[in-house]
Amino acid sequence: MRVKVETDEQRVIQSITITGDFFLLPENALWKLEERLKGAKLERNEIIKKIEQVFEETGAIVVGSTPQEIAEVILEAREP
Amino acid sequence: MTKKLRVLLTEFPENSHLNLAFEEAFFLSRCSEWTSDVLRIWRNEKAVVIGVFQKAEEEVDLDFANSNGIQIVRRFTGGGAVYHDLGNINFALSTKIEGEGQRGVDFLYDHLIYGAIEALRLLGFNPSKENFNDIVIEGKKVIGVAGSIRKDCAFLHGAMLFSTDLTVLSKVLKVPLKKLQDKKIDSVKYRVSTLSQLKPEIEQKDVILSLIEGFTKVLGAEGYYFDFPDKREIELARRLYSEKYSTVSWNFERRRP
Repeated sequence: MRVKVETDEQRVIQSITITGDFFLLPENALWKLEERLKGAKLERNEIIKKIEQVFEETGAIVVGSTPQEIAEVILEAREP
Repeated sequence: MTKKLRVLLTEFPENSHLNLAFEEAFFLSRCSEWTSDVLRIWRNEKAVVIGVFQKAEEEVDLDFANSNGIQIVRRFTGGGAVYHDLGNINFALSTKIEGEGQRGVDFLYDHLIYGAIEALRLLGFNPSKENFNDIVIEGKKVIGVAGSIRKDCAFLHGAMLFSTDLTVLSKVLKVPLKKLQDKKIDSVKYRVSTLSQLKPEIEQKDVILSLIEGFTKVLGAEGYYFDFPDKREIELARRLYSEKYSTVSWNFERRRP
């Protein structure tokens, strides 16, 4: 999983793409997640909250990983 | 399921984009109840097929692909990039999720996948499953599968390395080094072999029949029959081809499904 993220000076996410070799069902949940993360602050609690919201709303399942691990990858992401 | 399994050998090896359009068309047709369960076995001549969440430039050596006439097409399921030539045999199953309370994901990766595992057993191998979606013989990956779920219908497709040119495969696919170091991903994903290397006497027709028998068994079907795609499946595939699979925005710009 690779994350590319752009933030402003306040660490607010301007754009984010999550790409790679993973399985998320339904697939549409990923685009919802990317949209929801736009405007969020790049800090742990907020990212985890947004991910959990999208997973709850879409009933998404990530195979071979967890929502927490997605959060970790996002938090590790560096500016392009 | 007590009926016979419908089997199609519909393929357009020279047009990977049309092949992938048919892949989705058969699944959507099954979801719409137009058709019964369908197993399709098919090939691409020279293509890299990337997962729906992937970006071609991150997975593929685009210069190498270009200069070697290798097409690039994005599928509608998740997972990783695979290289297809005529030595790679693809299978795709569209069916309904059986069993109450069965989680779709488990149905794909703990049940349907055994159709492909059974096929390898019938060919005399001793296969095992790794990373939930890889099938391995003697520690080397020979099949990778990917699936999707729409409500109560399930789709599982996979790529079987029968006699694929592994030199081209290793040149055209970028192996992410970081992944190899990731403890959660066994590096078997990147240690591959072909059935022909392991057992040179196996013929393509044996593989086809084993896949049919493996999936017939896992579905509990009473045999199988060969068929053509019907008119609605063809029309749907053509639409998916022109609106989605033949477009640059879908294949290279990660357009949303």
